[in-house]
Amino acid sequence: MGQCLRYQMHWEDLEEYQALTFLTRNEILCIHNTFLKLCPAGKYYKEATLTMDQVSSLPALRVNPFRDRICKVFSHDDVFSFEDVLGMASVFSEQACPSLKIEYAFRIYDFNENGFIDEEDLQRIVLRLLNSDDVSEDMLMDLAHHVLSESDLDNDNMLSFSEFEHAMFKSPDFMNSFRIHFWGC
Amino acid sequence: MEENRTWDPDAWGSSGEQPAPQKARGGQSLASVLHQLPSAATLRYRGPGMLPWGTLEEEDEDGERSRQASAEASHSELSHPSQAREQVALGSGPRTAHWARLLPRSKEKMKEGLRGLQPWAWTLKRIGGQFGGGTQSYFSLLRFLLLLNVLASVLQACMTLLPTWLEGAPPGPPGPGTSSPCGSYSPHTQGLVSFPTQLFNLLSGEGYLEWSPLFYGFYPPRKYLAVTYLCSVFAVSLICLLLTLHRSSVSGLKQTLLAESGALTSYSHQVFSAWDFGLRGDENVRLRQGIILYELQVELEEAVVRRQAAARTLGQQAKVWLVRLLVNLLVLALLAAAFYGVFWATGYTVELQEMSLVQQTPLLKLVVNYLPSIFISVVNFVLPFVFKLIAPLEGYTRSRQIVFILLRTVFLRLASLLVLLFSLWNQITCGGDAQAEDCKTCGYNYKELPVGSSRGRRIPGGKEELGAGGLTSWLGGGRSLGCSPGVPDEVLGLIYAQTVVWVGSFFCPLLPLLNTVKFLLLFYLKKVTLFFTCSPASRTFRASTANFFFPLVLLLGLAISAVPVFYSIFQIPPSNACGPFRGKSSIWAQIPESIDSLPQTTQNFLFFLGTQAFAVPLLLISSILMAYTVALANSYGRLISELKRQIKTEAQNKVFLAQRTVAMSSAKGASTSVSRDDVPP
Repeated sequence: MGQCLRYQMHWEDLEEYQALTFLTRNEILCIHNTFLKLCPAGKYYKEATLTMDQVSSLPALRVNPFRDRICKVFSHDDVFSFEDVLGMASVFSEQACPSLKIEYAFRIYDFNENGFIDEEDLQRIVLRLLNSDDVSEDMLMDLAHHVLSESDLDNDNMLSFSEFEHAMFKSPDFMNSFRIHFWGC
Repeated sequence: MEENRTWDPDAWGSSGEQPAPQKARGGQSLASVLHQLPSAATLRYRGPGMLPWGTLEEEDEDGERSRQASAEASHSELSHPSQAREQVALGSGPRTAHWARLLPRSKEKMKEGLRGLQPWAWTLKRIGGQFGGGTQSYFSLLRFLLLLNVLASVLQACMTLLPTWLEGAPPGPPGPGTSSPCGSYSPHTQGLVSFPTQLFNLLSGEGYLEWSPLFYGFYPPRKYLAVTYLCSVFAVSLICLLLTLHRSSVSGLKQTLLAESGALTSYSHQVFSAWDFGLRGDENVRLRQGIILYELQVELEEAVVRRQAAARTLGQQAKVWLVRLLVNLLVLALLAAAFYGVFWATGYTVELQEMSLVQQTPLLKLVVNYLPSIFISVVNFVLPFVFKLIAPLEGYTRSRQIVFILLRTVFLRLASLLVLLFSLWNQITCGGDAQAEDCKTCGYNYKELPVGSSRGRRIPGGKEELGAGGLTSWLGGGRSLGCSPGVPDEVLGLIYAQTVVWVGSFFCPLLPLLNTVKFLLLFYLKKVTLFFTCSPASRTFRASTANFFFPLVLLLGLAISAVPVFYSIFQIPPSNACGPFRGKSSIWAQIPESIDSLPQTTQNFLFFLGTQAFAVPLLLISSILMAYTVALANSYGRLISELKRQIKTEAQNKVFLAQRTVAMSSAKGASTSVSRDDVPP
């Protein structure tokens, strides 16, 4: 657990990050601190990267059943730069707009990355949501079938992005649940 | 249709290699064609230098072509998180003038600052993250009620306390030797008072507390004070109404109304919004998983119940409806019994108070004073339990059962309050019969009054209910220490307490202040219980339902609390011995008298407002506006269903065209490969 060079963030950088993301000042500084604690010794924070394991073990993500997908979606070349982490926090912040959240939720839930959420993805989602020993095959198939019959508008047995977006815009709880507040402060 | 998409990818844990899709040689797969559509452009872009998401690691030229095409197509639409904010804020490309960025940013900063001003914002966030949205909505409601009470107490203090002291110190209670029998009243007991008596006096509002700013009787009959006293009531109700409406519209009513019939998409919502991404801690995670499993099972069960209900024969339908009718009759009978019990308890209290034994022992007197409240609390505790037991008999789905139980509980609580007030009114006005013996002289039952109960001058429900309500809600809080809070029950308790306070605050102007203190203590107590003792709710209440249902019940409570207050303003003659309205025929009579003292033009204007010439056009215009709004809403609804139909058709068109493309290109590829195969290697 090394420590990056302890640079104070420049004021212009802070302003720029505030303009580019949906995060508040305090949140950005908090994430900056967390990043500094984790990144390897002796590097400037803008050049340092974190591995996916390091980000997965952040307290905010450690117990999340979708943490591997989150890391895959937000990382570039399997590592996280500081701006990747900021981008991730911005999507999960409270002030982010619904369309951005829905888009990233779609990417996260698409396990096989074929651009659609199909039955297999749905079953994997339900398995991750529950403890795997409690769930029977029938229940998984039943649930996947129900979800598809509700939201699949063009009957291709998969959810495209627009169908997913259509379903989630109507969900009043989605914004509340797709939110991470604390990144280690 | 699916033959080109049947590969078998594996996400996490694979070595990252995707097996090649079974596509026709020389042609493109359906998925890659669909990926090149402009509508999927933002989805594919993952940042500079990265493979667009959704493409496969294809070696041949087709892969290159599709990758390049998609990369080009998507550079114009960016959805990297850092760019999205700019697009949202400015609606244009990423390059804009510096000054054009400053204005929205300063607006954002202002909004951020205002949001940070709200007290306990950080605590609520923490609670929401750890315990779910339902518990957070409880605390949010508590904070909102605290705001209401603070505003109400400030307003009432300004409008009643200030004018009282502005014109000199108010006089003491009238002496025992006044002329008319209606006017005598001596609250202070003579001589030394023992300590237990003082304590009981404190709890029951007698003795030295009776002649204090806490109660209505204290205020002297000065003209301006009377007017402001009355106006403070209206001002407080107006502010509470506006704030509650604002909250119910802002926090969820709009969303819930817009979402067309939630029953249609509940599975998707439950699967995709089930996990609260803000949860931390293994304990919370396990509980959350349990909750999700429970909810999904409930959904599946409900689907089964609905299927069964659809498959019922006529005989079975009749049986089910008969059972439902019986259950409702039983519920009505229980409610009627409860109300009659409250009525009886109030009457019995007065009888008991006249017994000399009770008057000697302060403890018994206290218990007897609180008897109706105790009875109501017991009823409010037992009956919802009975409702929960008989609800499964009705054969509804579980969510509907919960709604029915909640409705019945709400009705029970609010109506028992009304019954209590009605029985008190009965006592005071001798059943509305102004010619009955006790009431003839002074217009109300004055004999009740000097017997130390002083109930005639105030709705004692205010203070005693507050005390008893406070006690039972603390007891109720003790119940939830074992932790399965039924958030709905707790919230209904809050709303009930607030309704009681609204009813009582006309006669005890400082009641909102007491309630503020009580809610403040309750907030901290609940928070401490939650964090240190409690494990989170084993059955969450959806935050969206909470945001919609509870402000509605709050509005209902406000409406119900307005009824007795307005009735006593307009109908019941005020007492002659105390209060700012002594000597008038009704409390409202003060207003016409004050209007008479205003200049003539103002009088004419105010009288004009009350005539038909003003009211009828106002009514007409309001009806026209309402009809227009309803028509607009209907047309929007129709537009939405039309657009949805169009979306479906367009999606089908798109899939059809893509399939044709694939078929044609595979046919072309097959023909070229055939021709290539003919050439010897």
